Amino acid sequence: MIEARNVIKKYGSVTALDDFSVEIPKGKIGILGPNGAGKSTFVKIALGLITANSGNVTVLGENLDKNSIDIRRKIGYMPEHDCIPNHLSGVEFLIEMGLVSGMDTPSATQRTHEILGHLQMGEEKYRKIEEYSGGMRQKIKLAQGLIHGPEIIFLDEPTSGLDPKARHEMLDTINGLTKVSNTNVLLSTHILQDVETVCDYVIIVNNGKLQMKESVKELMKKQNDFIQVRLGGDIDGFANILKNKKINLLSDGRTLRVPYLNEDTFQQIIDAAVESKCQLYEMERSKVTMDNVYLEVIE
Amino acid sequence: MKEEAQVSEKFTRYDAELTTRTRIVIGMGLRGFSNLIKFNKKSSWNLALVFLIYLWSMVFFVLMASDNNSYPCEEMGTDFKYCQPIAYYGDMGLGGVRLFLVTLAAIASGGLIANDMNDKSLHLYLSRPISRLDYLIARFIPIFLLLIFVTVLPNIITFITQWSSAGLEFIWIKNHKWLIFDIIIQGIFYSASYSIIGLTFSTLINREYRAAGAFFLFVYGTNIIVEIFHLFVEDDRVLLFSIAHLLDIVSFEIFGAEYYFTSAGQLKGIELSNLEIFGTLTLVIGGCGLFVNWMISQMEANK
Amino acid sequence: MSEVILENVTKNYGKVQGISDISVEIKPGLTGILGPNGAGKSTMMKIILGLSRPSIGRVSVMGNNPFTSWEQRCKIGFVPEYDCFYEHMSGLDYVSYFLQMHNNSLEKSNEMAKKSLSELGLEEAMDRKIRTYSRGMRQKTKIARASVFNPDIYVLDEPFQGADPTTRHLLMMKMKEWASEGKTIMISSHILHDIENLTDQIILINNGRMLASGNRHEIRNLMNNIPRQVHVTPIDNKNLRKLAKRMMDESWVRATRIDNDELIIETDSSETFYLELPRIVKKEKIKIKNINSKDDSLDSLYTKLVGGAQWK
Repeated sequence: MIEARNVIKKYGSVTALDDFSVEIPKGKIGILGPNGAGKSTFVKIALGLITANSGNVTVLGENLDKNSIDIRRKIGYMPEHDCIPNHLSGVEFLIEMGLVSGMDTPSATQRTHEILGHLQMGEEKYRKIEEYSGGMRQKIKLAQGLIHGPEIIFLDEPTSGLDPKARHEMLDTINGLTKVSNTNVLLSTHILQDVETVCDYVIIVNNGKLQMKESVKELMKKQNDFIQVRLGGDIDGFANILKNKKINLLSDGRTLRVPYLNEDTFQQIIDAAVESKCQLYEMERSKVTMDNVYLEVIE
Repeated sequence: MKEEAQVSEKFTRYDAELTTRTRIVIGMGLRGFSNLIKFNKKSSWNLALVFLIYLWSMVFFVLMASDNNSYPCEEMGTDFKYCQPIAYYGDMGLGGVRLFLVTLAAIASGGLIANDMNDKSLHLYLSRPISRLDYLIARFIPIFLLLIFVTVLPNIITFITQWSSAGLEFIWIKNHKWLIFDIIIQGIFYSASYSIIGLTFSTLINREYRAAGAFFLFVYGTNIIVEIFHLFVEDDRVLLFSIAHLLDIVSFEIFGAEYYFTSAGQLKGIELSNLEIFGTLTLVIGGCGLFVNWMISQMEANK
Repeated sequence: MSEVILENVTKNYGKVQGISDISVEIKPGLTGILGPNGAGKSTMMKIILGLSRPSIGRVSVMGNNPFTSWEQRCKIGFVPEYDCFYEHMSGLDYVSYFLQMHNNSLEKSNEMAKKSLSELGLEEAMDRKIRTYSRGMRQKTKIARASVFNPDIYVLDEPFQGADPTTRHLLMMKMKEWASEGKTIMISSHILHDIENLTDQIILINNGRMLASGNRHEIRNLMNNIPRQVHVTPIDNKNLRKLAKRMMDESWVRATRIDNDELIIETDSSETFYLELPRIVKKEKIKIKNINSKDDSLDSLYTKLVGGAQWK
């Protein structure tokens, strides 16, 4: 979908992208990295908003050096910061964005209302944007990126500042709208769970370089060498029984960690729970989370 | 007939048909223009000024045309005569029109780019399939069209009335065919120059009303300062530092007429070479264009 | 000692509701304050800080009324949601400035500020102007300003907002450290996962009312009217149907469903279920490798409580 080769971008003395090469497959891709790692710079170069000092970028099979403007017909962009005009109503603004993308008025209007419907915007869509809450503004920002049915949409922190319900809605819409129309998603975020729930692939960028590119499913399959156990009742009794069997467990105050030796460890936990008359709330081999992966790669 | 039941999908696929870049830009420009002349609280000032300019031109046209022959006149060029009392009317008429024209340009152009920069929606426009230049053209069209309405149209009306007073003979048009061409060129020149300068101020000061105020003060401020300065220095090149004078000089050049201006109650001619005049003009307009382009490219880089 | 007690606290702003009739006791340790935007979280924090006086009810922070006890204010560390910087100052000057306001000498202030900032990983950036800081660095600076006074009570309003995962991790470690020192820490956040990682103790507010408070597992147990779905995975998936049949014999099992290699059991008496399940699988000699309830997560608890499922 997007291919970058040896891209270098400097702002004065600061190097944002340092010999950055990546081949991004189709699907939903999460871009992770610390602040100032070069994520936004890369996204802007891929959008053709800024040009790299050297290297070349291909988006959807087209070289950006030759045609960085017409390629944007197939691209939607949702910036991170607040960037919508206050003096228009939501509908007026989205229709204008549709027209500027090259749609005609009737289809821009139809599409505006369709997307706003998906985003659960009711009558407030006719009100002025200055009266909108943070969540509604975020919805308008997403809607303007999707309005012309792009093949790729870049989302920069789409869930920042949203409360849990609004976040679910946002992620649902991203999932739903992109699934039927095969829209590819490039999601840059600090909230790793969003990547876990939405993305197929994850890319980690640090210091202007690509650190990792991996399928999310593969990553999440990896398991740790301990079993997470949560109990109710006589926890000390439970711990003693396992200790007698020479199994040392760790406690972090909320859950117990039993080292995983083989499949029999599960049976030993169950036996110990029966014996100590404990309630066994949770027993699960601990899985690698995106947090673990991220921190490992960055540090 | 068998009826088929169906349940719609929640999300459906959408394929947009998108037009060309040229059409997008023209569409944006025309929508911008219609926003400038819409009947609402903000744009009504634009309409009022347009009306005022027409009225003013009309009144002075009548005043000047009413008693044309009783004043001593001397020939200046082939098509223009200079008659003493008419000069006062002419000065007031032209000066008034220019005052309103600059005001109109200031308040109409002030918000065009400033508002987009202020609420940062500029980023969204630039992420659409249009280039930076396309965007600037789309923002240039509304103000340009508005100014055309108050420059070219009244001029053409004047031309037509002149023609009718000459007896509506076709030969008159034939003899003056370059005049109508010059009139149109001059109108376009004024409109374009003031539009570009207006957009520059809109970009420089990204608050609508301040940009408008700064534009107005800049044009008239430099005008007054330069005229006072000219009294002491007596070098005509000083006049080039005032936008209003510069544009007037060029527009007289378009008609092939000598430029005169009123300073301290006296009419003065100027002696400047074409190189000086058009060099300054190119510098000013080119500088404005480059500056706006640079400002916007800066905004793209920083978020 | 460093407890926060709210008794029937109501706060109105003119005719606008802030919070209504909240009674809760916040003990030392980490407590997550959750709720939708505009639910009243910030109002509650302001009342605890003594920045506003409750319209009805009583607040007690460390045994005193926070609105009148000025002297204990430096024992409360507050991190507001919005930025409150002098942008032209460097991070070091900013933190040190607040210390100097509390009658510390310049050298001592600078030293303390330096220590606090470098603990939060701002060694290199602390001499730069705040104007140039990223959002994560701004959050760290705000937290350094609060923690430099070594307060007993922390009130953190969205401390993770805009922070990248590394910063988030670092801040969480710090908070856990403070909690283990016996400090009372209140955190509001929209990212439920962060709260889940930090603590089980939550307060959930919606429309100014408190919906629930306490340990989230205990809260879930109180909502027994909503059947609980537990996922059980046998090691050998041939045992799936056998286990499903066996479970249906129990009166407290409402339904079972097989989903790939998982058995989903719906129960309306979760305590009995969790006690009996190990016994049953032991007796039937079915080896299982996973017991896990997805609606035990904070996310599902939040959705249920905010949606009002507990009253249905």
